[in-house]
Parts: sequence; C-alpha cells; structure tokens
Amino acid sequence: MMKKISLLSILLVLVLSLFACSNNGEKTNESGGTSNTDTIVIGVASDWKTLDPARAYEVFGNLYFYATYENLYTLEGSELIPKPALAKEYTVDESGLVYTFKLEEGRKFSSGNAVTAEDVVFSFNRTINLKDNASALAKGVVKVEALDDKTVVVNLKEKDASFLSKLTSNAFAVVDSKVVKEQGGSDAEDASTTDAATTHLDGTSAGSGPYVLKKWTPNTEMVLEKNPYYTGTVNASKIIIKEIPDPNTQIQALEKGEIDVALSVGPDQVKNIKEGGNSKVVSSPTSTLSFLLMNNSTEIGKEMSDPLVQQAVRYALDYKGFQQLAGDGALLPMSFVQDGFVGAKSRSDNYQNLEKAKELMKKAGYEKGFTVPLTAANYDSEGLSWVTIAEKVKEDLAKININVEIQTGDIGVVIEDYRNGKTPFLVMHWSPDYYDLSNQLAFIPGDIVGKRANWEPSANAKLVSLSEQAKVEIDDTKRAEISGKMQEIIAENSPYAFLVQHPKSFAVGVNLEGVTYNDLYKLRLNELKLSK
Amino acid sequence: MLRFIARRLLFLLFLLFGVALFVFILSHLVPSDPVAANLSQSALNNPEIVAAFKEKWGLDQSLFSQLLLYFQHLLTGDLGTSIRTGRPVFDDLMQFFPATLELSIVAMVIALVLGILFGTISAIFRNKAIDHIIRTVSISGVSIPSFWFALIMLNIFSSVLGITPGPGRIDTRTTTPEGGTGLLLLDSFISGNFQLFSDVAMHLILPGTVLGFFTMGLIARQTRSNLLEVLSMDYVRTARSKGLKESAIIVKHAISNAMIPVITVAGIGFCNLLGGMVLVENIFAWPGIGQYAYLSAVSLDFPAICGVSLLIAFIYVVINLLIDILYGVIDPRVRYE
Repeated sequence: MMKKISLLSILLVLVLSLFACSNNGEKTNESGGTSNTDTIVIGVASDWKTLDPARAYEVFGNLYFYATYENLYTLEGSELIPKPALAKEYTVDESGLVYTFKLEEGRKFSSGNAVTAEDVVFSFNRTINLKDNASALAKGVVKVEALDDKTVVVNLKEKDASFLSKLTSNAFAVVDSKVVKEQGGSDAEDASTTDAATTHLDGTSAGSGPYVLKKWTPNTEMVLEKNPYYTGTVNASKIIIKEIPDPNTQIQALEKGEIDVALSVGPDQVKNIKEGGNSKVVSSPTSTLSFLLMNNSTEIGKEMSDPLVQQAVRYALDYKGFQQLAGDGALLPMSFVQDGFVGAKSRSDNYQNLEKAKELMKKAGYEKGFTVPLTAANYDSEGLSWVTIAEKVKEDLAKININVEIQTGDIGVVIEDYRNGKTPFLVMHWSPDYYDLSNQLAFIPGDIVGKRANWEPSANAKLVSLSEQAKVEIDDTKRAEISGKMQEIIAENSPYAFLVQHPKSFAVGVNLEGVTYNDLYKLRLNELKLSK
Repeated sequence: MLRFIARRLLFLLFLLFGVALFVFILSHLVPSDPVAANLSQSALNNPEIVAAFKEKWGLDQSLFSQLLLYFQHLLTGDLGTSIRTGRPVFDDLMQFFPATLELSIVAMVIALVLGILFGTISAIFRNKAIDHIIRTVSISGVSIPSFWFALIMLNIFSSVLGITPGPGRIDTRTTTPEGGTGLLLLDSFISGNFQLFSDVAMHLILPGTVLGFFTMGLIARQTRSNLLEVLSMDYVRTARSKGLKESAIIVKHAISNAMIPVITVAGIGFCNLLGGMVLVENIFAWPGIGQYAYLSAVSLDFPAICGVSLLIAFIYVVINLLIDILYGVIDPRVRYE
C-alpha cells in the first residue's frame, strides 16, 4: 500500500516538474519585461476592505477610486491643491455656506448614462446617510440639491475652508445613481440599514473614471479595463493589480519583469535596486508625519509632562538623522503642518542644540536625568519601522541624560492606549484624512490628538483661537499667516516633537512612463505607459 | 469501525463548540477595540458613525447577547459576516481555503516522498557519509525558520537562477480563472487547459518545497529511527538468515512496519503546515487562509477569526481520524473497539 502511495507521489512530482520545466522562460522576454505594452501590472500590499466609495477610507483607496470614479474637484500631479474635474467652476455666496457647482458637459459613466446633477446629489446623500467611514468627511454638509441637470448646490452647516479639499476624496466620488439604485443602493436617511449596493460596487464600478472594475478578489488581484465612455487620456487598456504582501518579494518580481510597479516597498528595499537593471527608484514626499507624543498629564506623563522637558527633548533630537533614516525625499517641517499645506514652514538647519537642551533639563530639575518608557508599536511609516525611530530617539536623548526604555507592542493595543490618552511617551504618525490645514488642527489643545496628549484648551487659548480662524478663513494669504503663527507656537510649546515628513519610495520598471506620485491617489493609472 | 468513526464525529461537534466558545471569549479579551481598528480617525470622532458601526456589528449589545447570537447563527451553519471584508465568513473561507489546501497537499507530497526516501537511505547507510548529510538536511528542515528559508529560496531559484517563477499562484500578467473547485491544478487539468496547468504547477513547486521542508525533516528523522529499530528485530534477523536479499527485507518487511509512527508524524506535520502558512503565504503572495487569518486578526474581525479557528480545528480532527483509520489499513493488528 505504502509502496503504491510513494510511487504515485513520485509520479505526481515528476509530472509537475515536467510541466513546470516546459513553462520556464515562456512568459517574459529577454529584458524581463512583457511584450504586451497594453497591460500594466502593479504589485501592492493594499489595505482595501471595500470598493464602495461612500464607505471606504483606506490608504490605498483612492488608487482605485481615481481610476474608476470622478469627483467634482480633484488633485493633479503631486500637488495637493484642488482642481476642477466633473465641475467646471464653482461660486460661494457671501455667507461662505452655499457652494454652487456647474458641471462639465458631455461626461458619461461607464454604463453610458450621462453624469447629471442628480447623480451628484444621490452620491453625496448616500455617503452622508450610510454613516460609514467616508461619512466623516461629509459631516458639515447639511443639504445638497440639483437646480437643473448641470447645477448642484451644496449647503454647509458652518464655514469650512477645507471643503474643496474634502471634495477630492472618495467620500465625494460621483456614482451612477441609476445603476446603484438598481443594485439596491439608497441615499435615504435610513441608508445605513437599507442600502444594499456595496456588494455590487465591490465587484463592478459605477463611475465615470478612465477605467472600469472587471474583477476584484480581495487579497489576490484586481483587474481594470478601459472605460469606453471616458474621453480623456488612457494609455494602458488593462491594469492588473496583484496583492504581494512582502516588500522584498515585490522587488524580486519587479526585477524579474513580472510586475511593472512595486508600490508597497520602503527605503530598506529600494536600496537593493541596482543601477542599470530592469528597475528604477521613485521617491516623492508624502503627508505622513512622524512625531513623539509627550503626555501633558502629570499623572501619566510624569517628567515628560513638564514643558521644560518637552522643549529639551525637541532641542536634543537629531532631525537630520531622522531625515536620513526616512530616506531620499524626506522633509523636516517646523512642526505640525506638512510641506505642501498652506503656510507650511521648514525646520531651521541648526535647530538641534544640546547645550540648550541640557540647560532646560537643569532648569526643570532633571540635570541628572531620569528613566522613561517610550512606546513604539510594531508598525512602520512608509517602510520606516517605529522601533527604529524609537532606537534613534533613545540614542539622542541619552545625551541629555534621559534614559529611554523602549516598549514595543501590537499596533491595535498601542493605538487603543494612545486614543485613550494613556501613553506617557510614544512614537506615532499622522496621516491626513484630507489634504488641508484643517486636518492638522487635530494637534491643537482639546482637539483629537490634543486630547490624546491630555493637552487641554485652557493650556493655550491663543492657539485655540487661531485654530478657529484657520477653519473658516478662505483667503489663502491670511490663512497662511495664521498657519505660520500656529506652527511657531507648537514648535516651542507643545507636548509634541515632530520628527520627519516621510517620503514614499517605490520602484518601477525602467520602461514605465507617466509615473507621478500623489499622496492621495498614489498613481494616476491612466497616465502610466509602457514604452515599447 | 463505523461506531468508532461515529464516536469521533460526535466528539468533533463538541470540540468545535469548545473552540468557538474559547476563541470568542479570547478574542473579546484582547485589550483592543474593533471600533478603533475599523474606523478612521475622523469617523471615530463622529458619535453617529460609531453608533451605526456598533449597531451594524452587534457591538452595542452585551457580550453574553453577542455570544448567544453568534451560537444561534452557528447552529444554522451561518459563520457570520466578516467585519473587514463585509462578506459572509463562509464565502471568504471557501475563497481562500482552496489555495491553502492545494499548497498543503503539494507540500505534503514533497515531504512524504523525500522524507521517507531520505529516512530509508539514512537508515540503510547508517553512520556513513550519506547518512550524516541527510541527517544534517533533516535537522535543517526542522530548525530553519520558514519565512527566512522562503526568502532565500525565492531569491536563489526565482531571482538569481530564474528556474522558478516569482510570487502568486499563476503568472502575474494573467488573471486567476473563476469557478471550479478553486484548486487550480485540478481545475486546469479537468478543463484541459494545460498551459495554465503548467503555470500553476511551476508556481507550486517553490512554496511547496519550502513549506514541506519542515515536515520532510520530521518524517526523515522518524523513518530513520523506526527503520533502524525494525531492522534490529528478530524477524528481520530470521529473514536475513533465510538468505533473503537486503532490498527485499527492507521493502517487504521493514518499511511497512516502520510506517505507523511515521504516519502519526506526517499527520501532525500536515497540521503544522497550516500553522506555518501565514509567513510562507505572505512571502509567496499566496492568497490563502494564512493571510486571511492574519489580516482578520489585525482588524479584530471576530467572526472571521472564529471562522478560521473552526476550520483549522475541523481539519485537525479529520486528519487525526484519517490517521487512526490508516493505522488499521497498514497494521491489521490495530482494532477500533
């Protein structure tokens, strides 16, 4: 019996090997690339949970949504400034609460249906009423109505200088209302319990973007094909997105020509890309900001809650070292506003000052130093491990006699403590939900991150007042001024030390053109092109 | 025999109940909140969204009510809906499990063939150079971390030598065919698509070898020690004294008697394959149950975590049952009363 099993097994292995060997080298040409320049393959480790634009919020979400849907306003190139897309123009009334958008003529969904103001109204209301992740960005919208086929009026609850930026996110992607309604979609107030269109949207797109979703198998692959009704540029007629969780495997597949883009890789992996090979490195700034949180509660933060110690920490850190760790393209913002946002300021070259840091420690009564636990989750920011960041912090702070004890933990547990304001000293990052100064106001006393640092509004009334002005000020020059003032205050007096604005480093095949990285949508898939 | 199987299947029901209860309680003891794990920063600050999320997933109810509801659904065969994917857990398992099963079977075949072969050679040439080499390889198989081995193998055989393809179940520039059993080797064979069959086979060899390497080490070591023990027994000595050829003694008399402990080890090895899946699947971009389990765990997706646990427990019990039945097939002295 065993003999038979063994013989069968050997036979099976031999058959497999024969088939396998006959296949070797068949798929790729000499350069390792594919001869089919009409299909582009992208390797990612995505975080997609749903492809319903009214629900999704994941980091890689807009890589897909920008390929299959369109918004009234959009981002272009690597810029974070909203530009017209489905809307050709807008006006805002004197109160700053009523926005009127005029839609472009001749735009069609992939079904062939024309894009109308009714579709915009349905899409916005559906996002609001689904009460899912995406709804958070639509919080300030109180009423949406169609004046005619091509005019939409949006009423806001309060003035919002970031409204156009929010409009560029998938939360405001315009869906084909006829198709979505047919599939059980609803924009009614009870949509959170009655809408049934998500399953359909997870398998087929209903937008007017350059591509149509043909297939999505979670954790496996996504297939996009050209939308026949899209009138703009579409270079590759087919895009295949393959899930490759391990970054090293992505690089190996790229170098072998099996994929054209290795998108989910970090600074450590791109170092292995050899010049003159099949691939090249692309580095571009992101809006992801690493920072240290020093809890302001004396009970939780203990020594770290002392403003003098907080300032000493800021002076003791070697920011250029963090910039090197983060890789090519890393930036050093002055404080909580990233480069690319209104009024952003950079950290001065000679900010690190150990003497000043030691003086502050002495003034605080800690000349001989103290020991403090630093929490760093087993997580990374654009490929740079938080534990590596913590090790660098430990090295820097040892110079002013602060003995850092690194405590690592699961991200879920660390985040939970962070959100509840229980962590004394912590490595964290901030990645904006939308690309506007308003999103950064979370760091103000009493706001989202402020609360997590137990930084009460009473701690700095001026900052709170400036923040309120920044939320509603539409004039860019005035807003930049307010932004600058806030950055200066937070750089000198806050429970944070902002370390580095991370770059995104990834790799593409040498024959891939049209690669421009944007932090929101990552890549414009329709602009990618394989040279022959 | 039938009574034995019926008894074991009844035991399986109790075991699955216990596993479900244990995993449910354990996953709710984790000091982390599924609301925070699944909602964005902005959404978390919106009480309406938080309330809708809790209501949708039953998190607004007491733990006991959630448990009762979960078991009510479980009794009707409903494993619930995944918080992460929004799809029925059963559908998710049916989607991801075939990839894992296919890889496990190939890994097991490689492990069995090479393990028994190496173990036998090692026993025959005891303390010779070939024995030492095989023992070193076997120990390496048991001790090398699978993720590291996977990375090295992928680098050598795929990147440097170009003998095997890179990640995934099929060529990256093609898309996975839909329908069928999900076992691509079988599906492509049945449909007569031999180009796909060869592509799938090629993609299976490297991850299959990496995954099977650990079990191969176990089987080789077990085969060697059992065979040595059997070869020193009286009946083998009698066979030798009767003038039987050494090859006939080994093949006809020794190997089958040395196989029972090997089958036990192979069964445990097969179950261990499933445990080693997470890292190997991750490196080879293999869309299987290991990756699904990992992603569900980091999202605190309780229904999915419970679903995966029940599936794995089911496989453990079924494999152990098959092993017990195999004992009787190989050794007629084994009885099931």
